[in-house]
Amino acid sequence: MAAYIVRTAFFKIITLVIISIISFLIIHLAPGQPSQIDPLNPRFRKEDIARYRAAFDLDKPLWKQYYLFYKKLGSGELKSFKDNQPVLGKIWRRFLNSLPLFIVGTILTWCLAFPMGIPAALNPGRLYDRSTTFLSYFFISFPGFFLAYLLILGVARFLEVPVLGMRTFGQETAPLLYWLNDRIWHLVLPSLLGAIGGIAFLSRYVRVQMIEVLDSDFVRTAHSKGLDENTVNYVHALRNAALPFVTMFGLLLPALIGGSVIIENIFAWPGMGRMAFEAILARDYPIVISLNFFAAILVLIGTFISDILLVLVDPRIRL
Amino acid sequence: MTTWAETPREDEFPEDFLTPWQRIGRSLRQDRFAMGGALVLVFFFALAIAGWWGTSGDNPAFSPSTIRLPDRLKPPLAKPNLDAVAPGDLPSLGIYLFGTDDLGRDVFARMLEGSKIAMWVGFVAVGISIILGVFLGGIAGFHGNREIGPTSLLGAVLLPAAGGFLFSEISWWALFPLEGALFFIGVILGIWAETLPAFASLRRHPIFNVDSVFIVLVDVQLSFPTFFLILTAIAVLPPSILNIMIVIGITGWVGPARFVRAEILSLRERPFIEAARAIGAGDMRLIFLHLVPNSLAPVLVSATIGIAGAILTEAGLSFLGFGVPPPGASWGNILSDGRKFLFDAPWLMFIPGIAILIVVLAFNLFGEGLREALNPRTRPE
Repeated sequence: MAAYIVRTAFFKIITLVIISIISFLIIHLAPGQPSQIDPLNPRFRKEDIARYRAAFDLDKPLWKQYYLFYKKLGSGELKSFKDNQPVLGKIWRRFLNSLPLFIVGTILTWCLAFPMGIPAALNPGRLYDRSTTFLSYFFISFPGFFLAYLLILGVARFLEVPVLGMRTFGQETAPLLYWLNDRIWHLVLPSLLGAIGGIAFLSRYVRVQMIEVLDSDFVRTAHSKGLDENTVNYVHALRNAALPFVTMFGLLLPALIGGSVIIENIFAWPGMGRMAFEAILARDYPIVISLNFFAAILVLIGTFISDILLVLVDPRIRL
Repeated sequence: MTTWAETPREDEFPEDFLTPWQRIGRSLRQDRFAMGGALVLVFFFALAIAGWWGTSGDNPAFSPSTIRLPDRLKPPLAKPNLDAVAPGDLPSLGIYLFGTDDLGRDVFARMLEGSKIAMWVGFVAVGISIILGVFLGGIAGFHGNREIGPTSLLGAVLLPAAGGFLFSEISWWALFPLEGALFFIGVILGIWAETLPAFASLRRHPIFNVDSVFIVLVDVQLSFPTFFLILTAIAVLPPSILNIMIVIGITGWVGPARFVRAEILSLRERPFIEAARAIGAGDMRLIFLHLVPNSLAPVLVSATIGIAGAILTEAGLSFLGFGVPPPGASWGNILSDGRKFLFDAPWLMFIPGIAILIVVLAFNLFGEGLREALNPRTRPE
């Protein structure tokens, strides 16, 4: 067990190093130098560029830039190109804003995918199975931003609740219940949109997994010793079908975080995804690199947790 | 004696008499969703080729970029304003089939051009992912157990690092192939060094095998939120449709690579490989001539679904303003431009939105049908 965790952690660290290199180098895909942010600006004189290059270590060789970048990032000295604020603090504030979206999105995915997929697996080929299959593919294929606009239109017109942003302005002093209600209404649409692809994907996976397990010998044995349907399906079959899902937790995270770029932009949600977009538009490279790096770390933590959970629930791996 | 009348038709053959492809074809024909998807796809390809022919050249039949300011935001099926629009600028169909946008450009012509772009993006991006995936997955599947010794590891790290030190001043574009070449030279030098008698003791200390390198690579790719990564790369690269296809393609290699690796793992112990080896076929010949062609069926599934994903990703990039550079039209572009006129001209969003939905859905349903047909366990009895 301990050996397994150490080995997994070792591979995660190697992965992390490669990720840090790729995140750093991707900026250098751009032709020219990162210091040429605004070459047409007449106020950007030669000596300004030199000062700028020195301030952000851009005059050093590539490998030294890489080392200094992550050293400064770790010690919290790294500054944004745009407003000279420390990168860590900026990202942390935006991350806290995004966190409710990620958490609610994950909860929605896992709470809706299983009830959707299991009945389909119990009666494969029937109307319910075929309609959920079609619906899943329908929502996987729906361009997220188009769906977002349709939902905003529908919700704003028929339910008359606020949808854009994180909260309604001027509600800070409202009674707790109103404040909470306001926050929840703002949260529903973006987190549902973020989760919708995951729900569709996961429910298909639940179905396939469940069908495979229902076909196996021990399920037939359970039936033949006279257990009732529900015990066989939900206690015997589901517990075995659910094993691979522990690893899915880590795999669904990247889509959730990557998808937040578009969704947070549409809903004016001041989170990580919106920050990434703003930073890319402003060519704010320290922020862009750190965001790519931190998003990958988030996913790595997710996969690490699911790797460990997998050992806890599936003793075969420990051997 | 069997007469012609008694010979069963092809549909009635028992499964065992059919070749694998016939079996897949039969299974697909029984799947209504997959057949519907295939029908839509045929229509889409016809449209894309028509769009290619109809919207390119100096004097296209359907001009996607003609600006007609008197005819701005005309609803679908509207007639052009004959008094104000120059005769040469009139739409070829006589009416604006899908309406016009805020510059008076014919949305039908733009959608045609967009279908061409969608097909290009889908096929080129997925082509790149498959080439990469087949290469990496093929090597990982075949050489997975090969141990990497200390010398080849040192070679693989030291040579590129030395190259980085020496040539750190040159541009990234030249550095990248150089590092790649140094990496390969390092690995091969290392493997050669291990065969030398002087380093015989090193041979007993393998560090890890090729498969774990593959797994780390997959982990790295899967850990990046792909859309973040693609957006970053597209944003720093010069705007062009080719760059979009390449970046989407490079980030999509994991699916095909895993499929190829899994297939090759099960295929490489088969007698036909042993036979090929016995008559002296080399490793590369075995992998790319014997194993890979036999493992391509599941890659087809991931390609079909990959095209759907590539079209959606391009639409998402266009939506954020990083897609096909103007005046080129892609479906995502038209949709993204149309959102400013959501209430005045809803067709500008609905037409491309529904077109993306239908085509992506068709690719997904066809891919799923193909997967079911290829998987003997989920095939209906």
